[in-house]
Amino acid sequence: MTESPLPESFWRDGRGLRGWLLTTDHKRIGILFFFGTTLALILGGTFALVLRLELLTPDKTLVDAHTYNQLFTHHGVVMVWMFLIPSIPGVFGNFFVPIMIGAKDVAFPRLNLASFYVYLLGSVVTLVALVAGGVDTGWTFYAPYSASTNGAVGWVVTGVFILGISTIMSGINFIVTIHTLRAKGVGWMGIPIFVWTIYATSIIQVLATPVLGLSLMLVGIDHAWGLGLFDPAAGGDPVLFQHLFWFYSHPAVYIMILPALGVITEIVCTFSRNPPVSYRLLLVSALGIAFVGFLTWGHHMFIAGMSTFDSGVFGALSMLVAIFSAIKVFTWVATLYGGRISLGTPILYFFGFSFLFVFGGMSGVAVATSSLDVHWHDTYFVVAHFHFIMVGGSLTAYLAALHYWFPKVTGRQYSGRWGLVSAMMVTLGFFFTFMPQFLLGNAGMPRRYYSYPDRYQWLNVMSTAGASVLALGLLLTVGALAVACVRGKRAPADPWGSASPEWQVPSPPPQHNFVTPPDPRHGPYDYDGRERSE
Amino acid sequence: MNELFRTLLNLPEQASSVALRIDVLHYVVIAVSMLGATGVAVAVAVLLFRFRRRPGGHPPVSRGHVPLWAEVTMIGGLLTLFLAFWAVGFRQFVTLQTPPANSMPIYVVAKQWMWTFAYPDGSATTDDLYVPVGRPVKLVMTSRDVIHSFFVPDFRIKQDVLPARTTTAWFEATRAGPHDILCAEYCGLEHSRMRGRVIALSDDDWARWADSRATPAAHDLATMGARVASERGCLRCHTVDGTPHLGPTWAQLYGSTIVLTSGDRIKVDEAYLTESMMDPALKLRAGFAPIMPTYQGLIQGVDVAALVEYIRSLADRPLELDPPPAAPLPPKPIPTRAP
Repeated sequence: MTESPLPESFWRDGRGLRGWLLTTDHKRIGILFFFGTTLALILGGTFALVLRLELLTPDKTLVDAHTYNQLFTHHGVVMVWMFLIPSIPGVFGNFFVPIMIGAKDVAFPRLNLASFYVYLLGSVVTLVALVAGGVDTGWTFYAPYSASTNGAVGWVVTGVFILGISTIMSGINFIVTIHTLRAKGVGWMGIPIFVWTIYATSIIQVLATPVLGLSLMLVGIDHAWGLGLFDPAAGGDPVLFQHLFWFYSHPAVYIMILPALGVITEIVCTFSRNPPVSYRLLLVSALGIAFVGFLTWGHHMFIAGMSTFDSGVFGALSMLVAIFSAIKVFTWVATLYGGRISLGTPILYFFGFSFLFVFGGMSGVAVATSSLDVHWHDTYFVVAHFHFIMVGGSLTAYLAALHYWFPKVTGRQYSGRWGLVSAMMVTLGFFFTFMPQFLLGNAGMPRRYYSYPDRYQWLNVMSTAGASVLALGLLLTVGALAVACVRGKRAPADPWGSASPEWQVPSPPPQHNFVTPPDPRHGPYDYDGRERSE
Repeated sequence: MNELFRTLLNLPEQASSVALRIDVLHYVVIAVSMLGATGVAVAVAVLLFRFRRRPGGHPPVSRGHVPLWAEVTMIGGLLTLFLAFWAVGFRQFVTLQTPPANSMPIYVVAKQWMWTFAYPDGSATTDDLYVPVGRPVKLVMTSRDVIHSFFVPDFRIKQDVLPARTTTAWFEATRAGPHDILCAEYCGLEHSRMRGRVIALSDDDWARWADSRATPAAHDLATMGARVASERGCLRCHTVDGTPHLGPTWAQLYGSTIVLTSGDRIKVDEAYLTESMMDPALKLRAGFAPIMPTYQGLIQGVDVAALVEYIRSLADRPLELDPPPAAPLPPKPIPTRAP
């Protein structure tokens, strides 16, 4: 049963609900983001399940075509802007970046709280569209369809615009925090890699998000007042919209995956008790991905009517992303070598991640190969490819992070057995959801298809079965962690034997993070030094 | 070997002159990807096991430093591999983008949700594209409304079709028979049903088909109307047996009195039918979405007459009372945008 009550920590400030809603504590804001993004994940996941159930049969199963088209639109919008983008930075970035650099809070605590409320407002406005008639444009809002379709396009683009403001606020906050609030003695090369990935992510957020906001605003104006910027009937250019949209949305992929790569680095090092085989390469590759990510958007448009020459240039540049990603993977694998590896739920997630991320990434190399992309473009191959990165990469890493930092945040341990079972269900469920979709894409099934030729059915059935296992695995995760919140054993300050600063403070952390000033003599990966001095 | 890989990877038949070349590159890239991902996962599993924490620990392993030459070789090797994929792929892509000089041009017009093909001899078909085997065909494509994408999986070709702009694609069919055309760019309600077929004909069949187009057999007007209805794609939305679908059924339509969205009642006669082809939204029947495109200027007077005659001939047609085996899409009113 429950053991002794938890010590004084950030969980209690004596102000009750008010203390939560008006908090400027980065840890509490992280918790608020956790609840927000979890709700978004459940909502987006429910949409996905209905989509998968609908696709069990070649024609109508559950919903009609119009509803189906709205469901995949809202699934994408919710998952991308309300879950994936704010998830790891909003929850774990907020909670841990200040502690990792030895700060008491972020640079602008009130801006931090504001970013949560702006996120909330953006989410509500986005979801109003559901009751205001729904949107059936797809999350990509391609013009001129998005300008001419009926439905609540205005609500969604306004909502996403507001969500973008929240993203920019978080990004600025992290950049300033990491620049100015590192504790005395904590140098740029002395911060955990996770902080570097949040830094790289923040740069993308600040530079790319305004372009998204402006493009969506123009789509909204086109839709509401027929300005016609992207509508050829009024002299506009629909391909211009695609350039603007992907100029943001391709870097946005790295907003979603870079923090995940940071999480994985922390887990690999902690569980193998080895410093990264090359800190420098991990850092260079994170910044490299962030930079090159801005130069590859055209690979979404090989057959969109762009010039052949441009397709060649964008194809070649896209290969560089794979190089930087490969550097990370090799560094993780080499870090395991010679370690003293303890097994736990987070490192099991890393095992699944290692296959999913590498295959997902290599399928990215495949679709950047332009002649192959002609067949795959806008088919289920692409759907499978980006879900391998977004779910197999980002979501898996998010769950790994949840299991890694759970003892620190809650001060309690979860059941390793249930962690193992849910990790296996999530990974296998994911595999069987999306592997069949690669084969569907090969066979030529286009994405966003409500009804499909009969020959595609067996793979769709398999994919839906996999999605059901994935959903059960996620439910099990939520259940097991919820039980652990109440009945889990008390966790010590450093249950995994990490050297990273966040594990040197009590679990859960006290209100102002540190009981004793942080000790900058040992780096975040200095396991032996930390042991000797203890 | 080709058949084995093609079946394993669930690729459709290779029915164009470029398909095999592209598939071979596909096999190589996917095999490398699968081997790479499996290799990494196996390496992780082995290391997790080999270096697992044991009581007493294992003898320390010297990790040393990764030498610079190893880093450079690894990164350089991968970059060379990926750029090799890119180089081969881009060469093929240039081929795909460059129609041979002797191609037969066919003009393609896409609109929600049908394909229209116009041939050099002045004839036209809807949804079925007739081509000869063994001769390159160049498609000159444009869209009347939103973006569509012309995709023939059997040929490994795809090209977006844009409004107010012309894009081209080409192929040379190597196998006779029907090959699916799928719209690959999301274009609204009936996107997934915007399908057609490329009917690739052997030389003899092609000659016969061309002849039959030149001298259409004499028919009465209603029969001609039935042909126009299927060629023009009317029957994608309208049924002729009373089955509910996207548009009003034509069975027992002529002469009946219907209710419009404005609440007015109107008797369906020749004038109403003709007007509805040219300006479908003007007097929209209640319970149906304003999704029909205008045919103003798109069909000739004689075809209009034939269609009206055909619909009139269906006035006494008994309604199909048994539900059809495959449930069709029920008509669903779409919320209209406030003006």
